[in-house]
Parts: sequence; C-alpha cells; structure tokens
Amino acid sequence: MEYSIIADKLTKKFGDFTADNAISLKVKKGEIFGILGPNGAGKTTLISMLTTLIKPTSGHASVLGYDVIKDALEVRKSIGVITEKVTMYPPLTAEENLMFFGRLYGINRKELEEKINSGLEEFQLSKFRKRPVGTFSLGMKRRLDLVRVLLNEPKVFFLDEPTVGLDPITVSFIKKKIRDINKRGSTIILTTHIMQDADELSDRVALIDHGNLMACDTPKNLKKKLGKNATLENVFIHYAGAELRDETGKMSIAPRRGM
Amino acid sequence: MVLKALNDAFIVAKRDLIELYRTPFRLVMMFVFPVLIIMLFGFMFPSTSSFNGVHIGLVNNDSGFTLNGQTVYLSNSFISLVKYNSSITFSNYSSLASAESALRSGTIDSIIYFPANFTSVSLSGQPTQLKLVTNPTSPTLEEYINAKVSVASTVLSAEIVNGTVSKLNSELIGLPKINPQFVISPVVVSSVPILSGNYFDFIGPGLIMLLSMMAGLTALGSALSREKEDGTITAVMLSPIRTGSFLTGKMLSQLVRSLIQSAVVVILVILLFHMSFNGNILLTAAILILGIFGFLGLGLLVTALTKDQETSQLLLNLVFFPMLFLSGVLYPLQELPAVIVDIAKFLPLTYGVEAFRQVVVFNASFASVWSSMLILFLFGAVSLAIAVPVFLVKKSSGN
Repeated sequence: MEYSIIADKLTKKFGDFTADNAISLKVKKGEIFGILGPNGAGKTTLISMLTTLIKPTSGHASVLGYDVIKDALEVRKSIGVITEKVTMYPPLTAEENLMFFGRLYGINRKELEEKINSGLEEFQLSKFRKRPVGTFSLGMKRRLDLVRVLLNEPKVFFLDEPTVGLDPITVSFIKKKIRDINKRGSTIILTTHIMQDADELSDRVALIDHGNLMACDTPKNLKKKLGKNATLENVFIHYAGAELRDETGKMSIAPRRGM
Repeated sequence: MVLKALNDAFIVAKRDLIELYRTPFRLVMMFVFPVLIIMLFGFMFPSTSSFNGVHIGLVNNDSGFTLNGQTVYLSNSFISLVKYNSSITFSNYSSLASAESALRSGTIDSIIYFPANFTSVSLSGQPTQLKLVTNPTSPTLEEYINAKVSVASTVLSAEIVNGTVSKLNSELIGLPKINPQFVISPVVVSSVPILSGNYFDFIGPGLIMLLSMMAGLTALGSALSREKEDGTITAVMLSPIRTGSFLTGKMLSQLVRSLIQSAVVVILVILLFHMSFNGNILLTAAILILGIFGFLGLGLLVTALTKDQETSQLLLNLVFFPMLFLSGVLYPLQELPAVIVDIAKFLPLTYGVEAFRQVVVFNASFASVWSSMLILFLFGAVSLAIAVPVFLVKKSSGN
C-alpha cells in the first residue's frame, strides 16, 4: 500500500462548534508529514481521531489500512504516539513505566527486557532506569517517552509538539532521533509550532486553520508560491493571518486532557 | 481475547498497586483517614466501659443519723456505689451554686447534691431525695452518669428495704413473712443479652461498611482523575487495551487496597474498642468486597459526568451524607421515623451494614444474609452497566 494514512472528509463537531471540517489528506509511507496551524486550529483533534482517541462525527480515516473506528485496536497496535504532555507515571521508575506499557502491547517479558535495555541505552537513560520518573527533567522524560513508543516497533508515529519546552541540546538530539526513526521506514506525523523544525524535518506539510485544510505540499513548494525569500513562517501567516486570536480550547481537549 | 482482556486488567491493577507502594504519603493516608473516622466515632459513641476521666462534683450536706452512739452516713455508701467498678473521681463543693459554676465551666461533668436530712429521713421510714445535676450537651456522658447513679440508687434502696422488711418480719408473728424483693420490685424482669457486647458492636460494623462504600465511591473517580491530570490515561488508551480491561484493572486494584484497608480497620476496632468479631472471615470479606463493588459504578458515573475532581467530590457528598445518616450506620433504623425507614430501604448501604453486622457480631450464615448480598451485587452491576457506557461515550466524543 502506498499510503500510511488516508483521511476522507474527516469531521469532528463538539456541539455547534466544528473543530475539523471535512479534512481529506493522504500521507505516504515513510514520509515525515508536518501538520501546522494556529492554536485551536484543529490539529490535535485531527490527530486524536487518527489515533482512535476520539470518534469522528463524520467521514472516514484509515491507518495502515485499518479503519480508525472499526479496527481501533489494530490501529493502536501499529502506531506510536507522543503527546505534548509527557505521559509517564511519576511515582514509578523508568523501568517500571516501560515494563507496564510494553506489557500492554503484549510483548513477552524477555523480549521486553531486551528492548528496554537497548532503548534506555540508545536514549542515554540506562543509569536512571531505577529512578522514579517524577525526578526526571523534561528532556529526560521526553527521551523516555520516545523509548516507550519504540517498544512496539510502530510503523506510524504521531508526534505532537515533541520538542516544546526542551533545551537546544535535547531538541537537537530528539530531531536526530526523529530522522533515525524515519530512516528505519516509519511514517511520522509531526505537529509543531516551531516552523524551523517543520521546515527541516517535514517532507510535506499541511496547514490547518479553523478546522479547514488550507494547504498541503512540500515546504519548498509552499514557500516558492510566496516568493523567492519566503520562509515557512511567512507561509503560516499567509494562510492563518497575522492577527492574534483567542484560543477556542475545545479542540485541544482530546490527548491533552486524556479523553 | 478474554485471556488478553483479563491479562491487561491484571497489568493495570498491578501497576496501580506498585504506584501505591511507591507513594508513601498516599499509602499512609489510606489508613489514617479510616482510622481517624473510627477513633472519632469510637470516642463519640463509646462503650460504657471505655469512659475515662469522668469527674463528679459532690455537695454533701448529709448530717447523718446517730443511733446507739454511732453516726451513719448513707451518702457515703451512695458515693461508694457510684464509684464502684469505674474510674469516676469526685470533688467536694461547699454549695450547689459553686458546684454549678464548676459544671458550667467544664471542670466537672455533673453534680450530686445530698440534703442535710438525706440519711435521717431515710432511716425514719420516709423516702429520701438527692439531686443529680447533669450536662445535657454531652448526651452519652449524661446517660452514663445517669445509669451509674440509678444503679447506686437501686442497690442502696434495696439495702434500706432489706433492713426495714427484716424488722417488720420480726414483728409479724403468725403471719406470712414478706420477701424484701417483693417490696423492692414485685415483678422481676430477667434481661439476658444474647452475647456480651457493647455499643461499638453496633457502630463498628456500620462504620467499616461506610468506609468500604466511600472507597468504592471515590476509588475509580480519584484514580481516573489523577490519570487525567497526569495525562497517563491518554498513553494507556493509545495502547491496544480495551477500556473494559482498563476499568476492570482499576477496580481490581481498588478492591485489593480497600480490602487491606478494611482488614486493618477491623483489627484496630477489635483491639481499641473491643468490637466483637464472631463471623466467618470469608463471608466477612465477601460482604466487604460487595460493599466496595456496589459503589464502584456510582463513583464511575459521577466521574464520567463531571469535568473535574472537585465537582465529582461535591456530587459524591450528596450520596455520602444521606447514606451516613439513613442507612443504620450510627443508630438503629427502628429509632427513625417511618418515612425515613422507607427511604433507607432504597439505600444499598442499609443492606451492606445489616449483612455485615449480622455476620461480624452474630456469626450469621450465608443463608441469613444472601439477600442483602444480592442487593449489593445487583446495585453494583446495574450502576456499572450504566456508568461504563456513559464513560465510553464521553471518552470517544472527547468530552
């Protein structure tokens, strides 16, 4: 199959409010696909639907050929998701957290131990394995989150603001890891407000505003349409406008609040 | 699929228990709160043998009665009888006014006033009187002192009657002798308690069931709210686990911790308040489990319908307080008005308390309590059957 993700007129309404309005897009296998948009544009809601956290009001979507509603469990087996908020249990040690999530994916204990060892090694966290995650810095938690999502060797990654709040060294480390993961053949969906990250990492980007898909192309082509020296930030402002706006909040419910 | 679902539930439960073990504060609080409740109620509604530091003021104007050169003071005998087998202490006051002042200031708990002719009137064949001044703002203490004074009065009266009747009998020549007991009490009631126990045998089981209900009501709510706040529920829901398994795991861990909590509380109330424990341990545990299970659904429903922990706590209070007062936890339902008794019949805690009390105190068998257990089970099953779909709908709609 050529595409990892297909969304067809995907719509989500919260009462009278339309968070995503008939969004259709296709993400190729092995692609890094950036999703950009102002706060409250509908990015997180779109990812929540694609990752089976919430059900669309209408429209269809599939991940690796699995329908996000009918085959939700199969979708979850095939994906790895990193949300803006680090999702580890603070009182548990790094090892206990990884063991817990690994077991939920049905990985047997021996294999899981090996994966945990190599993952902690790769992300330079081996010596902290017995420490409660609550004592970790944000950068360490984010690295541990990456070890977690790699446990089940997903084919599709959803990374929601993976570098926000991190120091430049950790950002550089995480970006390198994102590229490494992509080189292993995985598809990556990346949402970010950092235009430089999106420009550097993404093969294509989709711009969403007010729940509508405004544009979808390579960063190069999008910039080209605006002129010779245009940046991705110029593209963003071109589609979203330069005016400050109030966040509508409702759209950021799903992954950030957990439901 | 069923095995995978059960295995997932077990993994979730195990994680929850590890987290509890890793959080000493939460672990300590798990025991502190119920112990505090039990201690407070234990001292508020103590058994008669557990009153300590009762202090009575005496205004003793008794001038006694002199016969054959010997002066007798019945007031002294009376005081000894009040003191008998208790730790009551006494202070003397010169006047009723000064004693009343001490009672108002809380220095003493009540006053016994003996008039000057207390002994002389009695020994001259007339009824004598003393005055007991009590503090009605402390009903249990008042009741205790009343009981002590009443017993002393009965015993002293019996002694006086014995003496008087013996004297009469010696003068009644050729007539049937009068039994002094006939004069004291012509009708004798023999009151035989079915077992030796105290008020804590009533209130203890009620409180333990109440704590189980609280654990059931708040368990899932607080656990899920914490997961929401930490964002960890997102990561769990993004893994291939069914929501049913996740919730089952949560319930399982709450059952385990609540059982441990209840066991500690049961041991404490037996040791501290001498609550009788005559029941079968397995049946006791089964009722406790049903007591927790019975309220899990209601707790989940409230959590699913509310946005945050504060709102759900307010709603849960609406459930908790009526149950506390109307389910026969603190006093027998027979004491309540008929309307309240009818309402109590619709409260599941009523059945939990009744069954638990019967088993723990009276060693009732399964055959005696199965209907109450069934009601608890049905209440839990029905409320879960409503709560789980509501939770799922809320989750999938993103609300």
